[in-house]
This record gives sequence, C-alpha cells and structure tokens, in this order.
Amino acid sequence: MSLKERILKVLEENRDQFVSGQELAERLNVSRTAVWKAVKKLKQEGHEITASTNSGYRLEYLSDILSEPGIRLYLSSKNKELPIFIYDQAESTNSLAKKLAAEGAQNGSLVVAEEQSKGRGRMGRSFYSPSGTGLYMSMILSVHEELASALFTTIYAAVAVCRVINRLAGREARIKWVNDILIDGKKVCGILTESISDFESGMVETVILGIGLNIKTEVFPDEIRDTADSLSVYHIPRNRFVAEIANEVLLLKQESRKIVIEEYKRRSMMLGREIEYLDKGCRRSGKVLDINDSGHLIVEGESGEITALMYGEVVVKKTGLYKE
Amino acid sequence: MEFKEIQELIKLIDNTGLTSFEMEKENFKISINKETNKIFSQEVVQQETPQYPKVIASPIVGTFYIAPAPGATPFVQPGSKVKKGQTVCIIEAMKLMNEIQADEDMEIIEVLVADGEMVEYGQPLFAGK
Repeated sequence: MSLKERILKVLEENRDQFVSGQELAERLNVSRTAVWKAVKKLKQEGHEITASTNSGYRLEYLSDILSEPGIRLYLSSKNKELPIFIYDQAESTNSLAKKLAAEGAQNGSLVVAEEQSKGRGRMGRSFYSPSGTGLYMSMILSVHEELASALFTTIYAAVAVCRVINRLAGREARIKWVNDILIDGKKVCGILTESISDFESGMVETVILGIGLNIKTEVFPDEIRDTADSLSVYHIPRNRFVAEIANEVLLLKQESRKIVIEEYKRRSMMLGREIEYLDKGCRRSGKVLDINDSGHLIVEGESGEITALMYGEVVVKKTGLYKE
Repeated sequence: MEFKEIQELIKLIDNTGLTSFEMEKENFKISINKETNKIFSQEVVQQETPQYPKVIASPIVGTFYIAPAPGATPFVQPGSKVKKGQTVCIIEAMKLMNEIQADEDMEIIEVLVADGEMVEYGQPLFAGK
C-alpha cells in the first residue's frame, strides 16, 4: 500500500474526526511533510479532507470517492483480503471483470468504477452511469458448477442488494423478475450476470455479476425519467455499499437455495400480478401464481394453461413496466 | 436420532447432488427423497435436421442471441472458421447471459436458429464441417 493509501486508511477509520499530522507521521513512520504531501494528493483526487494547523486532518462525513481502504474497512473479516480493482472510468465494469477473470483474477474480486461510459444492461441496452453518484460494480465469482446452478446467481444478487438497501437506506426494495430492483415502482438497480463456461467440461467456471445501483443520481435522461430513481442516500459512502453488497452476496452463496428463494419471493413484486409475456414467440397475457424453487415464474395464461417462465421479457400490465 | 440431527441431515443432503438417501440403525430407519429442480426440458427436440458433419447444440433452454448486442457484429456467420473454445452465441436464461463456445474447430455452414428465438435443450444451433 502506498503512503497515500495508508493515510487514507487511517482517515477512513476515523471519518469525521481529526487525526493529527504528528500522529499520522508517527504511526506510518514518515515525516510530517510526507504526510502533508500525500494528503494534498488525496485532496486532488477528490477526497474531502479538511486540514487544520491545530487539529490535523479530517476526512469529511460526505466525502465519497471510491477507494481500496474505504471499501476494505467495511468488508467482513472473512472477505478482508478480496482483490479490489478501482477505475475512474470504465466502459463497463462487467467487460473489465471478464478480462480480469481471463487473466486469472481470484474468486470474489471486486471491480468498481466511478463512472461507466458504456454501462450495459441486457442485450445491449445501456445502464445510465454518471460519475460519482451511483455504484457500478462487478464481482468475479469462480464457481465450477452446472449451468442450472449458475442461473441462481441473479437471484442471490437481487436478494443481497435488497438486504443492503434495507440496511443502509432503510427502504423496502422490491424485485421485478428476474433482475430489476424497484422502490415505489421505480427502478433503482439493475443486475447483469454473465457466465463463462469451460467448453471441455460444459461447466460454468466463472460468473460475472454486474450491479448498477443509483445512490445519489438526481437527474436522469428523458427516456428513463419516469421509470428510474435513486436511493437518495448521501451520508453513506459508496465504498460501504460496495463492501456490504459483496459481503452479502458471498454470505448468501453459503445459504441453502430454498431459504434464498423464499426471501426472493417475499421481496418480489410479481405475485398475483397481471403480466404480458412471450411464450414460444407469441405474446400472451396471464397472471403470476408463484415463483418456484428454481426461480421460474409460474404463470396462468388466459385459457388456464400454466407455464413456467425461465427466460424472456415480462411486462407488468396496466400500470406499465416498472410501476407497482 | 434427535430431531435436530435429522434436520441437519436433511440440510446436508439438500446441499449435495444426492436425490435419495436411506439409513438404518437399531429401531430406526430414515429415507429421504429429493425432487431435483429439473430446469432442462427432458426431451431433446427431435427435428428433421439434415445430417451435418458437425453440430453445436444448445446446452440449455433459453433465448438465442447471435451477437453481443442488437445490431452488433454477429459472433459467427456462415463461412466463419471457428476455433475450439471460441464464443459462437449467447443463450439467456434467468437473465444470465451464457456465452456458448464451440467444442471443436469447424467452419460454420449454417446458423440454424434466428436471433432472439427460444431454443430447447439439445437443439442444434449451428451446422458446421
């Protein structure tokens, strides 16, 4: 860790409190001038640090720049050593994560960016990812599992994000099957999972779990203005969201599938809803009866036929795509 | 056997690939059966597909995509020479994008499925030689 990061670590641990230059210098075994120079660099990077001749340095309460010490502070002891890759700007964290996975990045590696220039949703749709206001992260999960089992990753992730939103923002988020997370009928989070298989064994070796969460975004482009929203949380650093989501995903991976599906159902907004869906290329209407143990949507069609959906687009009727 | 032990046993078995389990000891017998989550359609689609020297079949039920994004350059097209391990398409299920790779070197003769169409388990996607 560079001196700059070591200083940031101490300041993160004492957020909103002064740490004297003398103490920093002694703890890190460097001169006070070296501390001063490193703090100056941190400030140039955007960290809000107040310097006072008498009291020392204070990382401000609302300072919100992604950093390795900042994320690590909130990783659970089990996850403290996870590799973290931070970028000012990325085309898409999933694309970067894929590349890193191919280069051998280890299980649980976190890839985060302040901004995505080509944030991706499903099939080439974009995810609006303006600088500094949202969380754009990807996790590299080494799995070695059957495709059938890898399909659960999206479900685990959706539950993990809902838990963290509830804990940090105090809001009840609901899941629109499979991978959108809504608050009061508006989308705050999208999840994009991609799998990489070994063609010899047919097993999924790596799952790239991409999460885009609007935290402080206030202005959205016209085409999503009515359907998108953010958590409007300003006092919790995005570093903490990154760490807590990572903790939660890795924790849920240890849980039995049944328990996770139960919670997924409880947090779903789909049960009992009238929806439109595609069945073998035909647009149909129906009512959601249940979500089964595999996460499939059980739908009763207009003529009474029951279908288990496991792919394709679903539109919640009457009140529009994302309205409750 | 204590109730708690049985609970633990069930949990343990639930986390394995086992579908049934039996155990007997004095005055006690337990048998557990687990319905596995069958997500793959069991019947492989029997189509009148002409015999091609080489075929890439779908490992999963889902939606077939020939390109990484709508309007983007397709992963392969007829005439493409693909190497073993090269991505040839994406199949989506449960919003998981699965890159499907060629399991051997081949030249693609024909793409057998239209972009965005649903495919069954085992359905031939590409014909090659």
